Amino acid sequence: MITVLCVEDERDVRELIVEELQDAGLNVIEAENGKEGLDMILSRRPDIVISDITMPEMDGIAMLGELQINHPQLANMPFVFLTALSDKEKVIEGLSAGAESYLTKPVDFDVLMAKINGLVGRIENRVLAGLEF
Amino acid sequence: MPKMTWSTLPAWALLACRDILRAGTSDHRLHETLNDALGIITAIPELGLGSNAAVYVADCSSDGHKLFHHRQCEDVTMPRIIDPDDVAGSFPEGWGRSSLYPIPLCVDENQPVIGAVLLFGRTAKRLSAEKLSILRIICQELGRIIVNRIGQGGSLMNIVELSTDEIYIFNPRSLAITRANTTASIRTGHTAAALTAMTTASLKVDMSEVEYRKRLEPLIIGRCTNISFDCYQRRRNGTVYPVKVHVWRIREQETDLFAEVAVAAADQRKAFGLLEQVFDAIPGGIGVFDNRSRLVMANRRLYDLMSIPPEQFPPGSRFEDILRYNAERGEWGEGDYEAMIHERLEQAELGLPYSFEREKASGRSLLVRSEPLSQGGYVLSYTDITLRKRAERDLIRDRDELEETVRQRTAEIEAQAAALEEALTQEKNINAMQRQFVAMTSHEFRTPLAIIDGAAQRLIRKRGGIEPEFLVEKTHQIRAAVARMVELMESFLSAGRIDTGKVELVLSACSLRKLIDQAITRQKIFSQGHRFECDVLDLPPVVRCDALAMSQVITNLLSNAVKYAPRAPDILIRGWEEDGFAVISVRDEGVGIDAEDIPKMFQTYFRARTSTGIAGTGIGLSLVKQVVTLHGGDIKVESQRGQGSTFTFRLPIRGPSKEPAGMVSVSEEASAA
Repeated sequence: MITVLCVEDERDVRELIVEELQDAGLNVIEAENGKEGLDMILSRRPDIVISDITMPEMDGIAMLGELQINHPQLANMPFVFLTALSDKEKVIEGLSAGAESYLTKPVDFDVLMAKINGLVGRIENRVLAGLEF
Repeated sequence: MPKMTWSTLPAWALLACRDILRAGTSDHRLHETLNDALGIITAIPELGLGSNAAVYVADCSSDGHKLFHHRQCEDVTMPRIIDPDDVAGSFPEGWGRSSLYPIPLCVDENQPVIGAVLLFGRTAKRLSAEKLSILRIICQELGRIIVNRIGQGGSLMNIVELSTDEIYIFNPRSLAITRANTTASIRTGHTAAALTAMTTASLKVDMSEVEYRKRLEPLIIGRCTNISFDCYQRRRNGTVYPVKVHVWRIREQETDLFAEVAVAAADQRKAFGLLEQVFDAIPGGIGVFDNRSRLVMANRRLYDLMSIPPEQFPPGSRFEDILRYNAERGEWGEGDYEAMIHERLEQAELGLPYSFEREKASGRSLLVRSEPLSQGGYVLSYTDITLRKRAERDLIRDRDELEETVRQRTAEIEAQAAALEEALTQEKNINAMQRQFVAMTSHEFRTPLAIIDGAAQRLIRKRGGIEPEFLVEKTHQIRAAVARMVELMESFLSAGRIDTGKVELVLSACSLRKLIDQAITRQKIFSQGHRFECDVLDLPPVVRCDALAMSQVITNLLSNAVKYAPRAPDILIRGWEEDGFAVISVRDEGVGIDAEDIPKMFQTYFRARTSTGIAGTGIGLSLVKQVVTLHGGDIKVESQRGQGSTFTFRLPIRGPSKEPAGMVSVSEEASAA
């Protein structure tokens, strides 16, 4: 089963996303900030990461940067930013850091799920093709 | 015309003859006797000569000079009478025969003529032949007196007297003058008595007594009968004139005596007078000193510039004395005068040209120059350079002032540039902070919006079989998010109001304890992970303040404490009373603040570096500070990075002492909140 990591410091927001993902039949794990998220990526090896950007301790972009520099074997892990930062500079910064997608809050859950489902399909196809595992 | 004789003379003529004889027996000197006689002759009313008569005597002792006695023109030299018997024919052309009528002076008609009584102008023509012949007889008496006097043993003195040159009879050993003639008195300005108390050497300006004696030596040892030399003599009034001196050895009554004849040569005197005039015309001061540093000649300006009295320092004065006079009056400032005088004299007598500048006590500046003279001695010139010096000083001062002005202007411009740059930097900082604010504001609104939207979407998806708990939970999330947005909006609005000065404090007696309790209760809803420890029992029971604004202040500080201490759950709120103030502090153990960020903490839009990754607008604390300030209180923060922060604010218990100018209007509310 596909595992999705949700990194979000706002409890209510996190809860709503987790519910939506679980309803779609995905295995969801949670983290409250970038540092926790990085630990969880290394220990649990999720298939997809959905992360906020503005968070205490370590923000989302720093977390992705850390991953790509220090853990290149995990650099291909699909990373979706879901953030309230909507200005163009931030979108460019996030995508340049290597994110798969950049979604802004408030997000339409249909759009979010379409993105996640697309990623899930790609991962399953690769597994079937024997590219992973 | 009957020839006049003694027996036929009228009484007035006899009286005149008697008076003339009496004058002749007086102890007056010859020239005085001539004068007396002339006075008697011109005073005879019957002749009516007035002052138009003179006695003219041939002086056989001198070379070509005559004595001419006249009331108005004493001491006039005249050419020698070539033929003593032809008095009238002996006068030069220019004198005009028609205006002169000479009556020969002689003992009788058979004796030689020794002079004449001269009648000027028309005087002789007005006299009758009779009166003229009476006058001739009277003049014979005068002639007798002259012949008598000259023929006497004291004839030497008469010759001396008659001379138009200065003649001094002096003792060759002591140089003391025993006799001096009238001309000497006239030339030197000393009386005859004064002269006999002096020595011949003391009259000389440019030679010492020793030098004078040296000159006389050949005469004393008998190697020659007379000597002559040029020198300068000093008058009583200090002025100097050049003379040619002849000294003869004479004997009088077995005593060895010398006679000195000082001839004032007309050319030399003229040249000297011209030199004196030139000297005086020179704008600078000039002094000529001899080889023994004695003043030979000086112009008036020198006395003026050296500030020395001319009567005290006539020619002949020692330069040393002049220097000492000035040194003692403090012209040279403090110091060992004698050493300075000695040094100055040495410099002067070195025989080399030199120059220096000196500022006198009066503030006058002098340029002193010295040029050596070929025969020894030197010429000192003093130039007044006060104006030049002043101009130089003015120029230097102007230049310094100009430099100072330029320096000041440069400094001003630099200061303006710095101020402008600072203003620009500040402007840039404010712009950056405002951009950050806009970004953060958008973020702050989007987060609760995301919750509301997400909850709503979830409700729609579950619309088929919504369980009551699910509905309650989502509704609760929506309401909390809306409350958060309202709070956010309020803080923006408050900030805007304070910025535009439209805040109205509604003062009332409030219980801060109650406000704090309420704020903690609200905060707990949003931050269940934190523990609030409250110690506010020492707060005064009531404080005059705006309850709503103060509630906002406390809420803001509490939510900050929670927000910036995500991993440290303990938050301590304390309250107490101090010097008429209510003091409240809120302490967290969170991220803390860098020391250099602390002074900027209450600036609008400013966010500390330690706040990275934590949502915020930079408005809250600036709002808090403004509200506290409006209440007449203050706020401070103590913090270190990673060590948490303590915000402490004070409010005057009796409320703001006066209305803060132009910022706020305070209205009273009758009942307590």
